[in-house]
Formats: sequence, C-alpha cells, structure tokens
Amino acid sequence: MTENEKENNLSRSKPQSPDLESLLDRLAHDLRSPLRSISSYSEILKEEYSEHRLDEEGLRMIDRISYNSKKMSHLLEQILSFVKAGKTELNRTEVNVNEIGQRAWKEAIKKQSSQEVTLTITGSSILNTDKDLLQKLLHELFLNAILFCTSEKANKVEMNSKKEEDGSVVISIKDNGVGFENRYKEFIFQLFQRLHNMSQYEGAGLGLSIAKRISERLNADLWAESQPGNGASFYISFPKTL
Amino acid sequence: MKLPIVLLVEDNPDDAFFTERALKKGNRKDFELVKVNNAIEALEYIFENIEEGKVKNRPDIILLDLNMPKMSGVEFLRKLKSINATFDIPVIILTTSMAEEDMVECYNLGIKNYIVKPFEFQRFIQEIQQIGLYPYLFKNDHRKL
Repeated sequence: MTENEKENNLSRSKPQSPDLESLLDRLAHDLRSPLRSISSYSEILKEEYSEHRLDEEGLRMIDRISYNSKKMSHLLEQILSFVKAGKTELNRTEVNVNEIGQRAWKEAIKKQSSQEVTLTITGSSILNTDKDLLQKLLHELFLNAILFCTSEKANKVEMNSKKEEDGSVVISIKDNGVGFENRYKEFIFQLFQRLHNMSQYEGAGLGLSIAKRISERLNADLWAESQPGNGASFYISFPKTL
Repeated sequence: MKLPIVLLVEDNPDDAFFTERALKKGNRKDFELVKVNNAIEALEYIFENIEEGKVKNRPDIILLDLNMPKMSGVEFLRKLKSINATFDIPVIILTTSMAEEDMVECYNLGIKNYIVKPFEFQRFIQEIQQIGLYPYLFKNDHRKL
C-alpha cells in the first residue's frame, strides 16, 4: 500500500454493518472445518509417511502446509474474536487491574515467546468492568507490544494504572519497540491494516482492531502515541463509574 | 463373542476418518466401530420401529457430531433420551461448536462428555484417549485398559 493510500484509509474507518459481520462470523466458522482437515492430513502424512516415502523436499512442503494452515486458523480465530468482541454480554464485577494484567501477560508470552521481554507493573486500581473482556483487551495490547520488539536492546513492557482526579481510571501499556509515526495512530486500529511487511513482523492486522472494539464495548477510550524507534504507548481510559 | 459397539454419527467423511484413526491409536482394538453419515441413519441403525421404541442394535456408546443436515445432533439426542429403551445409552459429543448454549443443552440432556475437536490432530488423539471410552465398552473387563 502506498503512503497516500494509507492516508486515505485514515478517513475511511466506518463501523462494520451487522450483515457483513454475520457473514464474517459464518465464514470463519465454516472455514475452520476444511482447514482442520488439511492440517490433520498433513500431520498424518508427516508422521506416517516421512520415513521411507517422502524425501526432504516433500517433508519441507508438508511443514509449509502445516505452518500455513495454522496461520490461517489463527486468522479465523482473530476474525471470530473481533465479531464476538462487539456482541459479548457484559458481566461487570470489581476487577483488580494488576491481577488481570498479569494473567493477560502470561498468556501473551506463551503465544509469542520468540523474544525475551520483561513486564513491569506499576500503580494499581480497581475497576468495575467485565473481567474477561478486560483481560482479552490487555492480552491483545501485550501481544502487539511483544510483536514489535526489536532485537537490538533489552525489550521492556510497562503497564501502569491509576485513578485520575475526575474519577476515571487510565491504564497505559508502553513498550520500547520499533514504534510508528504518530500520523498512523488511528490507522493502526483499523481492520486488516498493517504498517509492516509480513516478512518483517507477522500478524494479520487484527489484534489492535479487536482491542479497539473491546474498549468500545467496555465504554472506554483507547488511543496510541509513538515515535519511530522510541516505542509505542497505548492508553485505555475508563470513565468514572458510580 | 460379540464385540462392544461404538456408533459414530458424523456427516463429514474427513472427520469420521480422523476419529476412526484416533480410536485405533488406543490400547484396545476389540470393539466394533459403526459409522453412519447423519442422525437419520443413526436412528435407522438403532431402531427397528422408532414409534414403538423397538431397538434392533444397541450401541455401547455413541460419538455424536452436532452440526449435521436434516436432523441436528441435539435433535437426535432429544429423541434418543425420550425413549425408554435408549435413554441410558451413553453419548459423547464431538464437535467444532464452542457455543455455550449447545454445551449446556447437551449436558442437560445427559451426555457424558463434550469434546471440541482441536485443530491439531495430535491433540485430537489425546482428547479421544482421555474420553474414558473403555469403561463403557468393557464394563466387566478388568484388564489394563
């Protein structure tokens, strides 16, 4: 995509129509089954045919089939998460933000463990919100922070939460990764939009869209600030609740 | 000697193949696997006369898919559980559906287990091994299962 096209896309952030969402949901569900078959057959081929009936090239191709079907499966799960995030019924309880942050981090690190990254948590706050959705939201932001780590320095992610004077609660997640130009700060939340090539950083461009959608569902604001090379900061602001 | 029967109700031939393969990875092979393509065929296999509740083949356990054409797995389950002669046949759901309402309804109808088919075949084999199928098939057999 050219820079101009990216710029144009900045003003085209329209909400999905309900019909399109149902279609997306249905498609993602229905594609799961044939994809699972492709992946399972390639696993069986590798396990049972690799010794005498497949040469190195054949095995490499089977590995690529497995890799690509897993990737597609992940994409389908992300699409389903996106759709689900908009229609999940809220179950509000008193939530300890740091506790949920720890859990979300644990899950994120398990998924993307290729980089050495440390998390520091400062501040503390209690929110009246949906615990599962908050965890999913933090999880997506942590995955994003880990994904855009650089290998040149010690990778750090910091989470802070605090209650503001007006009663709102702000959670921030800061990383010291590659960052992005500030003019893309809204573009990055759009569905399927990416700022980097697949070969540089993997990802389908859905994680931050899911995060944005969850924040809207939780009646919170989510925004980002960054400078290239200086990491990125994401903020979630929850309004004061009675 | 008559072998215990596992009835697999699955409309997707690939999934039927994977389930059969996963079952064969287990320690014991001394059971008969009967495969049918949908819930209607399953009823035809089990009942001689469904109105009278007359049974011709009684499986020891049923592995049931949920999303099938003509009659869903849940409808089949309701039918099975409404008939005296078949209400106690153990049923295990094998599905891709993670919908909570499906799960709740199936458990309310008395299923033994609800397995969401995992993406990786190796994990599917593990799930099948962990179902605990053998106690239903070899009730009085205390050999190492």
